[in-house]
Amino acid sequence: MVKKLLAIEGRKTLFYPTFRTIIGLHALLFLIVALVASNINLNIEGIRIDKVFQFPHVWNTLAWIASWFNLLLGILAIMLTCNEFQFRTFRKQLIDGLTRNELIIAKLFVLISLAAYAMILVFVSGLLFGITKSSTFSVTDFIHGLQYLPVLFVQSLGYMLLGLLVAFIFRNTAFSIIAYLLYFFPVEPIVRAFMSDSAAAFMPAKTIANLTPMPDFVGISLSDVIQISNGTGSLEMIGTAIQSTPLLTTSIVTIGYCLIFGIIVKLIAANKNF
Amino acid sequence: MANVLTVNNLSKSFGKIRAVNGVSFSISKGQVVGILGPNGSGKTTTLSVVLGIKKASAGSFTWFDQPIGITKNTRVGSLVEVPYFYPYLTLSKNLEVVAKTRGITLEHIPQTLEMVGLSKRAKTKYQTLSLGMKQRLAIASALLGNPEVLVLDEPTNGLDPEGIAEVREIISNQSKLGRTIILASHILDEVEKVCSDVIILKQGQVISKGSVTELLSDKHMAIVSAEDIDKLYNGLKTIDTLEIIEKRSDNILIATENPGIISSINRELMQKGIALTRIEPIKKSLESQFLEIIKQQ
Repeated sequence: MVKKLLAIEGRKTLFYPTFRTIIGLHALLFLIVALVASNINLNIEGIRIDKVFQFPHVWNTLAWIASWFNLLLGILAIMLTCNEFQFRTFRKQLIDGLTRNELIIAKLFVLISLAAYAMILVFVSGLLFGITKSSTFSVTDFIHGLQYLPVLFVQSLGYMLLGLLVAFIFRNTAFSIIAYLLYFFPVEPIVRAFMSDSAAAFMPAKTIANLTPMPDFVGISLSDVIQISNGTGSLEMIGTAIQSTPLLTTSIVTIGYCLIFGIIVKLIAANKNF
Repeated sequence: MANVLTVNNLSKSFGKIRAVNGVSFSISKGQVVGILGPNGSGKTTTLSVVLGIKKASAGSFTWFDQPIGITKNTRVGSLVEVPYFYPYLTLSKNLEVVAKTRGITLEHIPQTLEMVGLSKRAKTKYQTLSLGMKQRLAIASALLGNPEVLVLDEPTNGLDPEGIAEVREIISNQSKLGRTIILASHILDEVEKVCSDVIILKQGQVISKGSVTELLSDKHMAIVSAEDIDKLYNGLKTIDTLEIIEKRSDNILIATENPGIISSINRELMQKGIALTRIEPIKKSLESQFLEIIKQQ
Protein backbone atom coordinates (compact mmCIF):
# COMPACT_ATOMS: atom_id res chain seq x y z
CA MET A 1 0.00 0.00 0.00
CA VAL A 2 2.85 2.40 0.88
CA LYS A 3 4.42 2.00 -2.57
CA LYS A 4 1.09 2.45 -4.33
CA LEU A 5 0.15 5.59 -2.38
CA LEU A 6 3.62 7.09 -2.84
CA ALA A 7 3.44 6.43 -6.59
CA ILE A 8 0.05 8.18 -6.79
CA GLU A 9 1.04 11.16 -4.64
CA GLY A 10 4.41 11.45 -6.35
CA ARG A 11 2.79 11.97 -9.74
CA LYS A 12 0.25 14.46 -8.41
CA THR A 13 2.72 16.45 -6.34
CA LEU A 14 6.04 16.51 -8.20
CA PHE A 15 4.40 17.67 -11.44
CA TYR A 16 2.42 20.43 -9.71
CA PRO A 17 4.08 23.72 -10.75
CA THR A 18 3.06 25.52 -7.52
CA PHE A 19 4.66 22.75 -5.48
CA ARG A 20 7.95 23.22 -7.31
CA THR A 21 7.73 27.01 -6.90
CA ILE A 22 7.00 26.88 -3.16
CA ILE A 23 9.68 24.26 -2.44
CA GLY A 24 12.17 26.25 -4.54
CA LEU A 25 11.20 29.44 -2.71
CA HIS A 26 11.47 27.68 0.65
CA ALA A 27 14.98 26.39 -0.04
CA LEU A 28 16.10 29.67 -1.62
CA LEU A 29 14.82 31.90 1.19
CA PHE A 30 16.32 29.62 3.82
CA LEU A 31 19.71 29.55 2.13
CA ILE A 32 19.74 33.30 1.46
CA VAL A 33 18.91 34.10 5.09
CA ALA A 34 21.48 31.58 6.36
CA LEU A 35 24.18 32.87 3.97
CA VAL A 36 23.53 36.50 4.81
CA ALA A 37 23.45 35.79 8.56
CA SER A 38 26.63 33.72 8.40
CA ASN A 39 28.47 36.56 6.68
CA ILE A 40 27.52 39.25 9.15
CA ASN A 41 30.82 40.27 10.64
CA LEU A 42 30.39 41.72 14.10
CA ASN A 43 33.62 41.22 15.93
CA ILE A 44 33.39 43.55 18.89
CA GLU A 45 35.89 43.00 21.66
CA GLY A 46 36.08 39.25 21.00
CA ILE A 47 32.33 38.71 20.53
CA ARG A 48 32.00 36.90 17.17
CA ILE A 49 28.47 36.49 15.83
CA ASP A 50 29.54 33.90 13.22
CA LYS A 51 30.18 31.42 16.02
CA VAL A 52 26.52 30.43 15.81
CA PHE A 53 27.35 28.80 12.45
CA GLN A 54 30.09 26.66 13.95
CA PHE A 55 29.62 23.16 15.33
CA PRO A 56 27.70 22.45 17.52
CA HIS A 57 25.61 25.68 17.47
CA VAL A 58 24.93 25.51 13.72
CA TRP A 59 22.17 22.90 14.15
CA ASN A 60 20.13 25.06 16.51
CA THR A 61 20.78 28.18 14.43
CA LEU A 62 19.75 26.62 11.13
CA ALA A 63 16.77 24.78 12.64
CA TRP A 64 15.64 28.12 14.07
CA ILE A 65 16.07 29.87 10.69
CA ALA A 66 14.29 26.98 8.91
CA SER A 67 11.39 27.29 11.35
CA TRP A 68 10.65 30.78 9.96
CA PHE A 69 9.68 29.14 6.67
CA ASN A 70 7.57 26.31 8.09
CA LEU A 71 4.48 28.41 7.41
CA LEU A 72 5.29 28.03 3.70
CA LEU A 73 5.21 24.26 4.10
CA GLY A 74 1.91 24.56 6.00
CA ILE A 75 0.46 26.64 3.16
CA LEU A 76 1.74 24.08 0.66
CA ALA A 77 -0.03 21.32 2.63
CA ILE A 78 -3.24 23.38 2.45
CA MET A 79 -2.90 23.91 -1.30
CA LEU A 80 -2.18 20.25 -2.03
CA THR A 81 -5.23 19.20 0.00
CA CYS A 82 -7.65 21.90 -1.15
CA ASN A 83 -6.73 21.12 -4.77
CA GLU A 84 -8.16 17.66 -4.23
CA PHE A 85 -11.46 19.17 -3.09
CA GLN A 86 -11.44 21.84 -5.81
CA PHE A 87 -10.64 19.43 -8.65
CA ARG A 88 -12.90 16.84 -6.95
CA THR A 89 -10.12 14.32 -7.32
CA PHE A 90 -10.62 12.95 -3.79
CA ARG A 91 -14.05 11.98 -5.08
CA LYS A 92 -12.56 10.38 -8.17
CA GLN A 93 -10.03 8.42 -6.14
CA LEU A 94 -12.83 7.09 -3.96
CA ILE A 95 -14.68 6.04 -7.11
CA ASP A 96 -11.52 4.39 -8.41
CA GLY A 97 -11.22 2.34 -5.25
CA LEU A 98 -9.15 4.12 -2.60
CA THR A 99 -10.64 4.14 0.87
CA ARG A 100 -11.12 7.33 2.88
CA ASN A 101 -8.31 6.21 5.19
CA GLU A 102 -6.00 5.71 2.23
CA LEU A 103 -6.74 9.25 1.02
CA ILE A 104 -5.53 10.58 4.38
CA ILE A 105 -2.59 8.21 4.67
CA ALA A 106 -1.46 9.26 1.17
CA LYS A 107 -1.50 12.91 2.24
CA LEU A 108 0.36 12.03 5.45
CA PHE A 109 3.09 10.45 3.31
CA VAL A 110 3.42 13.73 1.41
CA LEU A 111 3.66 15.71 4.64
CA ILE A 112 6.21 13.29 6.12
CA SER A 113 8.27 13.55 2.91
CA LEU A 114 8.15 17.36 3.10
CA ALA A 115 9.20 17.32 6.76
CA ALA A 116 12.06 14.97 5.83
CA TYR A 117 13.03 17.37 3.02
CA ALA A 118 13.18 20.28 5.52
CA MET A 119 15.32 18.18 7.86
CA ILE A 120 17.70 17.11 5.07
CA LEU A 121 17.98 20.70 3.83
CA VAL A 122 19.07 21.82 7.30
CA PHE A 123 21.38 18.83 7.71
CA VAL A 124 23.19 19.40 4.40
CA SER A 125 23.46 23.16 4.85
CA GLY A 126 24.48 22.68 8.52
CA LEU A 127 27.20 20.31 7.41
CA LEU A 128 28.51 22.83 4.86
CA PHE A 129 28.30 25.84 7.19
CA GLY A 130 29.76 23.86 10.10
CA ILE A 131 32.74 22.61 8.10
CA THR A 132 33.49 25.98 6.52
CA LYS A 133 32.97 28.08 9.64
CA SER A 134 34.46 25.85 12.37
CA SER A 135 38.15 26.26 12.97
CA THR A 136 38.44 22.85 14.59
CA PHE A 137 36.41 19.68 14.15
CA SER A 138 35.48 17.15 16.78
CA VAL A 139 32.89 14.39 16.61
CA THR A 140 31.46 15.55 19.94
CA ASP A 141 30.86 19.05 18.60
CA PHE A 142 29.39 17.62 15.40
CA ILE A 143 26.92 15.36 17.19
CA HIS A 144 26.02 17.81 19.92
CA GLY A 145 22.91 19.69 18.83
CA LEU A 146 21.93 17.20 16.12
CA GLN A 147 18.73 16.60 18.08
CA TYR A 148 17.43 19.81 16.49
CA LEU A 149 17.05 17.92 13.19
CA PRO A 150 14.38 15.44 14.34
CA VAL A 151 12.86 18.28 16.36
CA LEU A 152 12.61 20.37 13.17
CA PHE A 153 11.03 17.33 11.48
CA VAL A 154 8.35 17.15 14.18
CA GLN A 155 7.85 20.91 14.02
CA SER A 156 7.41 20.97 10.22
CA LEU A 157 5.00 18.06 10.51
CA GLY A 158 3.05 19.96 13.18
CA TYR A 159 2.70 23.02 10.94
CA MET A 160 1.64 20.92 7.97
CA LEU A 161 -0.80 18.73 9.90
CA LEU A 162 -2.50 21.85 11.24
CA GLY A 163 -2.67 23.01 7.58
CA LEU A 164 -4.17 19.64 6.59
CA LEU A 165 -6.80 19.96 9.31
CA VAL A 166 -7.73 23.51 8.26
CA ALA A 167 -7.93 22.35 4.61
CA PHE A 168 -10.28 19.52 5.53
CA ILE A 169 -12.49 21.93 7.47
CA PHE A 170 -12.72 24.72 4.87
CA ARG A 171 -11.99 22.78 1.63
CA ASN A 172 -11.22 26.08 -0.10
CA THR A 173 -7.63 27.22 -0.65
CA ALA A 174 -8.14 30.95 0.02
CA PHE A 175 -10.34 30.49 3.11
CA SER A 176 -8.04 27.82 4.49
CA ILE A 177 -4.87 29.89 4.09
CA ILE A 178 -6.54 32.93 5.67
CA ALA A 179 -7.88 30.85 8.57
CA TYR A 180 -4.50 29.15 9.01
CA LEU A 181 -2.58 32.45 9.15
CA LEU A 182 -5.22 34.06 11.37
CA TYR A 183 -4.88 31.19 13.81
CA PHE A 184 -1.16 31.87 14.23
CA PHE A 185 -1.80 35.59 14.46
CA PRO A 186 -3.91 36.94 16.12
CA VAL A 187 -6.32 34.18 17.23
CA GLU A 188 -4.04 32.01 19.35
CA PRO A 189 -2.00 34.91 20.79
CA ILE A 190 -5.25 36.57 21.91
CA VAL A 191 -6.46 33.32 23.50
CA ARG A 192 -3.09 32.88 25.19
CA ALA A 193 -3.32 36.39 26.63
CA PHE A 194 -6.25 35.21 28.77
CA MET A 195 -4.44 32.10 29.98
CA SER A 196 -1.82 31.52 32.63
CA ASP A 197 1.75 31.39 31.29
CA SER A 198 2.12 27.70 32.10
CA ALA A 199 -1.08 26.79 30.23
CA ALA A 200 -0.40 29.19 27.34
CA ALA A 201 2.95 27.50 26.70
CA PHE A 202 1.06 24.34 25.70
CA MET A 203 -1.26 25.92 23.14
CA PRO A 204 -0.69 24.33 19.68
CA ALA A 205 1.00 27.20 17.80
CA LYS A 206 3.10 28.18 20.81
CA THR A 207 4.19 24.61 21.52
CA ILE A 208 5.09 23.95 17.90
CA ALA A 209 6.99 27.25 17.61
CA ASN A 210 8.86 26.59 20.89
CA LEU A 211 10.47 23.50 19.41
CA THR A 212 13.19 25.50 17.70
CA PRO A 213 14.08 28.26 20.15
CA MET A 214 16.17 31.24 19.16
CA PRO A 215 19.82 30.48 19.86
CA ASP A 216 21.37 32.40 22.72
CA PHE A 217 23.52 34.57 20.46
CA VAL A 218 25.20 36.47 23.28
CA GLY A 219 25.95 33.32 25.27
CA ILE A 220 27.39 31.59 22.22
CA SER A 221 29.41 34.64 21.22
CA LEU A 222 30.80 35.02 24.72
CA SER A 223 31.48 31.31 25.12
CA ASP A 224 35.21 31.70 24.40
CA VAL A 225 35.52 34.41 27.00
CA ILE A 226 33.55 32.38 29.54
CA GLN A 227 35.49 29.22 28.73
CA ILE A 228 38.72 31.04 29.33
CA SER A 229 37.49 32.53 32.54
CA ASN A 230 36.15 29.29 34.00
CA GLY A 231 38.85 27.22 32.40
CA THR A 232 36.60 24.24 31.59
CA GLY A 233 36.91 24.42 27.83
CA SER A 234 33.50 22.78 27.65
CA LEU A 235 30.60 24.16 25.72
CA GLU A 236 28.09 22.35 27.89
CA MET A 237 25.42 24.73 29.11
CA ILE A 238 27.13 27.67 27.51
CA GLY A 239 25.25 29.11 24.58
CA THR A 240 22.38 26.65 24.91
CA ALA A 241 19.18 28.20 23.76
CA ILE A 242 16.98 29.79 26.38
CA GLN A 243 13.94 27.57 26.79
CA SER A 244 11.13 27.71 29.30
CA THR A 245 9.95 24.11 28.69
CA PRO A 246 12.35 21.21 28.13
CA LEU A 247 12.77 20.25 24.47
CA LEU A 248 11.68 16.66 25.05
CA THR A 249 8.45 17.73 26.75
CA THR A 250 7.68 20.20 23.96
CA SER A 251 8.41 17.52 21.34
CA ILE A 252 6.10 15.02 23.03
CA VAL A 253 3.31 17.60 23.32
CA THR A 254 3.77 18.49 19.62
CA ILE A 255 3.62 14.83 18.63
CA GLY A 256 0.43 14.64 20.70
CA TYR A 257 -1.00 17.60 18.77
CA CYS A 258 0.00 15.93 15.48
CA LEU A 259 -1.94 12.83 16.52
CA ILE A 260 -4.96 14.92 17.52
CA PHE A 261 -4.91 16.81 14.18
CA GLY A 262 -4.64 13.49 12.33
CA ILE A 263 -7.53 11.94 14.27
CA ILE A 264 -9.78 14.96 13.64
CA VAL A 265 -8.95 14.82 9.90
CA LYS A 266 -9.83 11.11 9.90
CA LEU A 267 -13.14 11.79 11.64
CA ILE A 268 -13.99 14.58 9.18
CA ALA A 269 -13.13 12.34 6.22
CA ALA A 270 -15.18 9.48 7.63
CA ASN A 271 -18.31 11.55 8.13
CA LYS A 272 -18.35 14.05 5.28
CA ASN A 273 -19.30 13.41 1.68
CA PHE A 274 -16.66 14.06 -0.95
CA MET B 1 -26.74 -15.40 -14.72
CA ALA B 2 -24.29 -13.92 -12.22
CA ASN B 3 -25.24 -10.61 -10.73
CA VAL B 4 -22.83 -7.78 -11.33
CA LEU B 5 -24.57 -5.32 -9.03
CA THR B 6 -27.26 -6.04 -6.46
CA VAL B 7 -28.87 -3.18 -4.59
CA ASN B 8 -31.11 -4.00 -1.61
CA ASN B 9 -33.47 -1.48 -0.09
CA LEU B 10 -30.91 1.31 -0.42
CA SER B 11 -31.67 4.70 1.15
CA LYS B 12 -29.69 7.89 1.37
CA SER B 13 -30.76 11.01 3.23
CA PHE B 14 -29.25 14.48 3.27
CA GLY B 15 -30.55 15.99 6.49
CA LYS B 16 -34.32 15.76 6.29
CA ILE B 17 -34.31 15.16 2.55
CA ARG B 18 -34.48 11.52 1.51
CA ALA B 19 -32.77 11.46 -1.89
CA VAL B 20 -32.95 7.67 -2.30
CA ASN B 21 -35.73 5.73 -0.61
CA GLY B 22 -35.60 1.94 -0.50
CA VAL B 23 -34.21 1.34 -3.98
CA SER B 24 -33.71 -2.31 -4.98
CA PHE B 25 -32.56 -3.75 -8.28
CA SER B 26 -30.02 -6.12 -9.69
CA ILE B 27 -27.97 -6.00 -12.86
CA SER B 28 -26.68 -9.13 -14.55
CA LYS B 29 -23.53 -9.67 -16.56
CA GLY B 30 -23.77 -8.33 -20.10
CA GLN B 31 -26.83 -6.16 -19.49
CA VAL B 32 -26.83 -2.58 -20.73
CA VAL B 33 -29.05 -0.82 -18.23
CA GLY B 34 -30.31 2.73 -18.44
CA ILE B 35 -31.18 4.51 -15.21
CA LEU B 36 -33.79 7.15 -15.98
CA GLY B 37 -35.56 9.73 -13.93
CA PRO B 38 -36.33 13.42 -13.76
CA ASN B 39 -33.92 15.81 -12.05
CA GLY B 40 -33.70 15.04 -8.34
CA SER B 41 -35.00 11.50 -8.76
CA GLY B 42 -31.94 9.98 -7.09
CA LYS B 43 -30.02 8.61 -10.09
CA THR B 44 -26.67 10.20 -9.30
CA THR B 45 -27.07 9.64 -5.55
CA THR B 46 -27.76 5.94 -6.11
CA LEU B 47 -24.70 5.63 -8.35
CA SER B 48 -22.58 7.67 -5.92
CA VAL B 49 -23.49 5.28 -3.11
CA VAL B 50 -22.78 2.11 -5.08
CA LEU B 51 -19.49 3.61 -6.26
CA GLY B 52 -18.48 4.36 -2.68
CA ILE B 53 -18.48 8.16 -2.91
CA LYS B 54 -21.39 8.54 -0.53
CA LYS B 55 -22.33 6.37 2.40
CA ALA B 56 -25.75 4.72 2.40
CA SER B 57 -28.11 5.75 5.20
CA ALA B 58 -29.74 2.32 5.05
CA GLY B 59 -29.77 -0.79 2.90
CA SER B 60 -26.90 -2.54 1.19
CA PHE B 61 -25.34 -3.35 -2.15
CA THR B 62 -22.87 -5.84 -3.52
CA TRP B 63 -20.63 -5.88 -6.58
CA PHE B 64 -20.13 -9.33 -8.10
CA ASP B 65 -22.04 -10.76 -5.11
CA GLN B 66 -19.37 -9.45 -2.74
CA PRO B 67 -19.32 -6.40 -0.49
CA ILE B 68 -17.58 -3.39 -2.04
CA GLY B 69 -13.84 -3.90 -1.95
CA ILE B 70 -10.63 -4.22 -3.84
CA THR B 71 -12.22 -6.32 -6.59
CA LYS B 72 -14.28 -3.33 -7.70
CA ASN B 73 -11.21 -1.26 -8.61
CA THR B 74 -10.17 -3.21 -11.67
CA ARG B 75 -13.56 -4.66 -12.60
CA VAL B 76 -15.62 -1.47 -12.58
CA GLY B 77 -14.80 1.67 -14.55
CA SER B 78 -16.90 4.74 -13.95
CA LEU B 79 -17.65 8.27 -14.97
CA VAL B 80 -19.89 10.24 -12.63
CA GLU B 81 -21.33 13.52 -13.95
CA VAL B 82 -18.22 15.47 -14.93
CA PRO B 83 -14.59 14.54 -15.46
CA TYR B 84 -12.37 14.99 -12.39
CA PHE B 85 -8.70 15.35 -13.26
CA TYR B 86 -5.62 17.36 -12.33
CA PRO B 87 -5.59 20.34 -14.73
CA TYR B 88 -1.81 20.76 -14.57
CA LEU B 89 -1.04 17.15 -15.51
CA THR B 90 -0.87 15.76 -19.03
CA LEU B 91 -3.46 13.24 -20.17
CA SER B 92 -0.95 10.38 -19.76
CA LYS B 93 0.01 11.46 -16.24
CA ASN B 94 -3.66 11.81 -15.27
CA LEU B 95 -4.33 8.29 -16.51
CA GLU B 96 -1.21 7.09 -14.67
CA VAL B 97 -2.73 8.40 -11.44
CA VAL B 98 -5.98 6.55 -12.23
CA ALA B 99 -4.11 3.36 -13.18
CA LYS B 100 -2.04 3.41 -10.00
CA THR B 101 -5.16 4.07 -7.93
CA ARG B 102 -7.01 1.17 -9.51
CA GLY B 103 -4.02 -1.15 -9.51
CA ILE B 104 -3.80 -1.37 -13.30
CA THR B 105 -0.51 -1.57 -15.19
CA LEU B 106 0.53 1.55 -17.09
CA GLU B 107 0.81 -0.42 -20.35
CA HIS B 108 -2.95 -0.01 -20.90
CA ILE B 109 -2.73 3.77 -21.18
CA PRO B 110 -1.67 4.25 -24.85
CA GLN B 111 -4.23 1.72 -26.06
CA THR B 112 -7.01 3.32 -24.02
CA LEU B 113 -6.18 6.81 -25.28
CA GLU B 114 -6.26 5.38 -28.80
CA MET B 115 -9.72 3.91 -28.09
CA VAL B 116 -11.16 7.37 -27.37
CA GLY B 117 -9.17 9.15 -30.09
CA LEU B 118 -6.84 11.06 -27.79
CA SER B 119 -3.54 9.31 -28.43
CA LYS B 120 -2.10 12.35 -30.22
CA ARG B 121 -2.89 14.52 -27.19
CA ALA B 122 -1.21 12.23 -24.65
CA LYS B 123 1.37 14.87 -23.71
CA THR B 124 -1.13 17.74 -23.65
CA LYS B 125 -2.11 19.26 -20.33
CA TYR B 126 -5.68 18.48 -19.28
CA GLN B 127 -6.55 22.16 -18.73
CA THR B 128 -6.07 22.89 -22.45
CA LEU B 129 -8.66 20.34 -23.62
CA SER B 130 -12.12 21.14 -24.96
CA LEU B 131 -15.15 19.91 -22.99
CA GLY B 132 -15.68 17.06 -25.43
CA MET B 133 -12.07 15.94 -25.11
CA LYS B 134 -12.29 16.11 -21.31
CA GLN B 135 -15.34 13.88 -21.43
CA ARG B 136 -13.52 11.47 -23.74
CA LEU B 137 -10.62 11.35 -21.30
CA ALA B 138 -13.10 10.58 -18.51
CA ILE B 139 -14.43 7.70 -20.57
CA ALA B 140 -10.83 6.58 -21.20
CA SER B 141 -10.29 6.64 -17.46
CA ALA B 142 -13.37 4.45 -17.00
CA LEU B 143 -12.22 2.08 -19.76
CA LEU B 144 -8.69 1.77 -18.38
CA GLY B 145 -7.77 -1.86 -17.81
CA ASN B 146 -10.80 -3.15 -19.75
CA PRO B 147 -13.19 -3.34 -16.80
CA GLU B 148 -16.11 -5.76 -16.92
CA VAL B 149 -18.56 -3.02 -15.97
CA LEU B 150 -18.86 0.59 -17.06
CA VAL B 151 -20.86 3.01 -14.93
CA LEU B 152 -21.59 6.21 -16.82
CA ASP B 153 -23.59 9.01 -15.26
CA GLU B 154 -24.68 11.64 -17.77
CA PRO B 155 -21.70 10.99 -20.05
CA THR B 156 -22.90 13.54 -22.60
CA ASN B 157 -23.54 16.32 -20.10
CA GLY B 158 -22.64 19.74 -21.48
CA LEU B 159 -21.39 18.43 -24.79
CA ASP B 160 -22.14 19.92 -28.19
CA PRO B 161 -23.89 17.71 -30.78
CA GLU B 162 -20.56 16.56 -32.21
CA GLY B 163 -19.29 15.65 -28.73
CA ILE B 164 -22.53 13.81 -27.96
CA ALA B 165 -22.20 11.81 -31.17
CA GLU B 166 -18.58 10.92 -30.33
CA VAL B 167 -19.41 9.78 -26.81
CA ARG B 168 -22.47 7.87 -27.99
CA GLU B 169 -20.36 6.03 -30.52
CA ILE B 170 -17.85 5.02 -27.86
CA ILE B 171 -20.64 3.71 -25.59
CA SER B 172 -22.27 1.91 -28.47
CA ASN B 173 -18.97 0.22 -29.39
CA GLN B 174 -18.46 -0.83 -25.78
CA SER B 175 -21.93 -2.32 -25.54
CA LYS B 176 -21.27 -4.30 -28.73
CA LEU B 177 -18.20 -5.77 -27.04
CA GLY B 178 -20.53 -7.35 -24.49
CA ARG B 179 -19.50 -5.17 -21.59
CA THR B 180 -22.01 -4.60 -18.77
CA ILE B 181 -22.96 -0.92 -18.89
CA ILE B 182 -24.96 1.11 -16.38
CA LEU B 183 -25.93 4.38 -18.01
CA ALA B 184 -27.75 7.20 -16.27
CA SER B 185 -28.86 9.79 -18.77
CA HIS B 186 -31.39 12.50 -19.43
CA ILE B 187 -31.19 11.78 -23.13
CA LEU B 188 -33.82 9.10 -23.52
CA ASP B 189 -33.15 8.65 -27.19
CA GLU B 190 -29.59 7.74 -26.26
CA VAL B 191 -30.77 5.20 -23.67
CA GLU B 192 -33.28 3.74 -26.12
CA LYS B 193 -30.57 3.22 -28.71
CA VAL B 194 -27.99 1.73 -26.40
CA CYS B 195 -29.74 0.04 -23.49
CA SER B 196 -31.39 -3.35 -23.23
CA ASP B 197 -33.06 -2.60 -19.89
CA VAL B 198 -34.17 0.44 -17.94
CA ILE B 199 -34.78 1.34 -14.32
CA ILE B 200 -36.96 4.40 -13.82
CA LEU B 201 -36.59 6.39 -10.62
CA LYS B 202 -38.85 9.08 -9.24
CA GLN B 203 -38.47 10.84 -5.92
CA GLY B 204 -35.83 8.36 -4.85
CA GLN B 205 -37.87 5.25 -5.58
CA VAL B 206 -37.91 2.70 -8.39
CA ILE B 207 -41.23 3.17 -10.16
CA SER B 208 -40.60 0.90 -13.11
CA LYS B 209 -38.02 -1.52 -14.40
CA GLY B 210 -37.80 -3.97 -17.23
CA SER B 211 -36.51 -4.45 -20.72
CA VAL B 212 -36.81 -1.60 -23.22
CA THR B 213 -38.76 -3.91 -25.57
CA GLU B 214 -41.34 -4.72 -22.89
CA LEU B 215 -41.66 -1.11 -21.96
CA LEU B 216 -42.36 -0.01 -25.51
CA SER B 217 -44.73 -2.79 -26.56
CA ASP B 218 -47.90 -2.40 -24.52
CA LYS B 219 -49.51 0.87 -25.63
CA HIS B 220 -50.34 2.87 -28.75
CA MET B 221 -49.91 6.60 -28.78
CA ALA B 222 -50.98 9.60 -30.81
CA ILE B 223 -50.68 13.36 -30.84
CA VAL B 224 -53.97 15.21 -31.23
CA SER B 225 -54.72 18.89 -31.49
CA ALA B 226 -57.70 21.20 -31.99
CA GLU B 227 -58.25 24.94 -32.13
CA ASP B 228 -59.40 24.96 -28.50
CA ILE B 229 -56.92 22.79 -26.58
CA ASP B 230 -58.77 23.07 -23.27
CA LYS B 231 -62.03 21.96 -24.86
CA LEU B 232 -60.21 19.08 -26.53
CA TYR B 233 -58.61 18.13 -23.20
CA ASN B 234 -62.01 18.03 -21.50
CA GLY B 235 -63.45 16.02 -24.38
CA LEU B 236 -60.63 13.47 -24.26
CA LYS B 237 -61.12 13.05 -20.53
CA THR B 238 -64.59 11.67 -21.15
CA ILE B 239 -63.26 8.77 -23.27
CA ASP B 240 -62.67 5.95 -20.78
CA THR B 241 -60.37 3.80 -22.88
CA LEU B 242 -58.04 6.71 -23.49
CA GLU B 243 -55.22 7.95 -21.33
CA ILE B 244 -53.92 11.51 -21.49
CA ILE B 245 -50.17 11.40 -21.18
CA GLU B 246 -49.26 15.04 -21.53
CA LYS B 247 -51.11 18.27 -22.25
CA ARG B 248 -48.90 20.63 -24.19
CA SER B 249 -49.51 24.20 -25.36
CA ASP B 250 -50.71 23.23 -28.85
CA ASN B 251 -51.34 19.47 -28.69
CA ILE B 252 -52.05 16.55 -26.38
CA LEU B 253 -50.23 13.22 -26.18
CA ILE B 254 -52.62 10.33 -25.68
CA ALA B 255 -52.21 6.57 -25.24
CA THR B 256 -54.48 3.54 -25.42
CA GLU B 257 -54.19 -0.22 -25.31
CA ASN B 258 -56.71 -0.53 -28.16
CA PRO B 259 -55.20 0.50 -31.51
CA GLY B 260 -58.68 0.89 -33.09
CA ILE B 261 -59.68 3.64 -30.71
CA ILE B 262 -57.33 6.15 -32.23
CA SER B 263 -59.19 6.07 -35.55
CA SER B 264 -62.53 6.41 -33.79
CA ILE B 265 -61.47 9.39 -31.68
CA ASN B 266 -62.28 11.85 -34.44
CA ARG B 267 -65.84 10.58 -34.70
CA GLU B 268 -66.40 10.59 -30.95
CA LEU B 269 -65.03 14.12 -30.56
CA MET B 270 -67.10 15.42 -33.49
CA GLN B 271 -70.18 14.21 -31.64
CA LYS B 272 -69.05 16.39 -28.73
CA GLY B 273 -68.60 19.38 -31.05
CA ILE B 274 -64.81 19.25 -31.14
CA ALA B 275 -63.08 19.32 -34.53
CA LEU B 276 -59.62 17.84 -34.53
CA THR B 277 -57.03 19.73 -36.57
CA ARG B 278 -54.44 16.98 -36.18
CA ILE B 279 -54.37 13.31 -35.25
CA GLU B 280 -51.03 11.64 -35.65
CA PRO B 281 -50.34 8.12 -34.44
CA ILE B 282 -46.77 8.05 -33.23
CA LYS B 283 -44.23 5.36 -32.96
CA LYS B 284 -43.86 4.97 -29.26
CA SER B 285 -40.52 6.13 -28.00
CA LEU B 286 -38.84 5.59 -24.68
CA GLU B 287 -39.37 9.29 -24.10
CA SER B 288 -43.17 9.10 -24.42
CA GLN B 289 -43.28 5.92 -22.35
CA PHE B 290 -41.05 7.51 -19.72
CA LEU B 291 -43.33 10.55 -19.54
CA GLU B 292 -46.34 8.29 -19.19
CA ILE B 293 -44.81 6.27 -16.34
CA ILE B 294 -43.62 9.37 -14.54
CA LYS B 295 -47.06 10.93 -14.85
CA GLN B 296 -48.86 7.81 -13.57
CA GLN B 297 -46.86 7.67 -10.36
